Amino acid sequence: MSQILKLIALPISIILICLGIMTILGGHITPGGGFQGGAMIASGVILSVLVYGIGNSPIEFSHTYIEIFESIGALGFIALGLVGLFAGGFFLYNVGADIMNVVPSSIQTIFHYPDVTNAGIIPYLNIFVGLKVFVGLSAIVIAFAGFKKFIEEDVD
Amino acid sequence: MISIGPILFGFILGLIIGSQIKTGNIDDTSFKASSYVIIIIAGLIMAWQLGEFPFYDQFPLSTGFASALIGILLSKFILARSS
Repeated sequence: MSQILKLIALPISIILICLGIMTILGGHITPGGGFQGGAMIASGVILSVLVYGIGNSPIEFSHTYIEIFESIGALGFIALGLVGLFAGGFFLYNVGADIMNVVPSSIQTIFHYPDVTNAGIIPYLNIFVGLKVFVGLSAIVIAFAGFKKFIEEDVD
Repeated sequence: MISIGPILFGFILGLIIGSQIKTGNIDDTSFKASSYVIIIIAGLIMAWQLGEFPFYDQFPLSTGFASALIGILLSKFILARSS
């Protein structure tokens, strides 16, 4: 790729990642959410991988990193659902907002998202989904770029 | 009153992603300290233009965006050591 692309791709990737994080954090009261924000973060990673190449990209995830955050995303979502099941009686019951008044106030305080909207666990679910989606989509692209490089080396 | 939620979680997500940004292996282009100053200025202008997203209207800056940028750059300088 050209020098100009290499100069501008990393700053744009960082800005795209920030926009993705902002979309995740506004997911409970604006359009967007975990999946959309995660896809925006992944687009930053994809831009970097495409411009710099798979071996030289400044934003590249190791196998362990992908494994850890994919697992945290899935297990965190299920754990929040189970908290709702055991504390409120339903899977994914919003223990932070507690509109049915069935959860003790100590548990409600723990899972209350600290902003003015009384959203409860919804922002936390968005964050876990966002983690899972950004790592998953990035892993797909990194794997495809790796296969392409492997095939090109094999042909040579 | 500024909401703590987007600031805290934006910073944490930024830390998670920024820890993997390593500029040491880029060939024929180098990113010096001045490059990151430009990124910070551009990011702050963007956060200002985005306004009080998502509609908290207590602070004229997108706090989630700004804290994510700070988290990414801090984590890049502290944790991503190969650069």
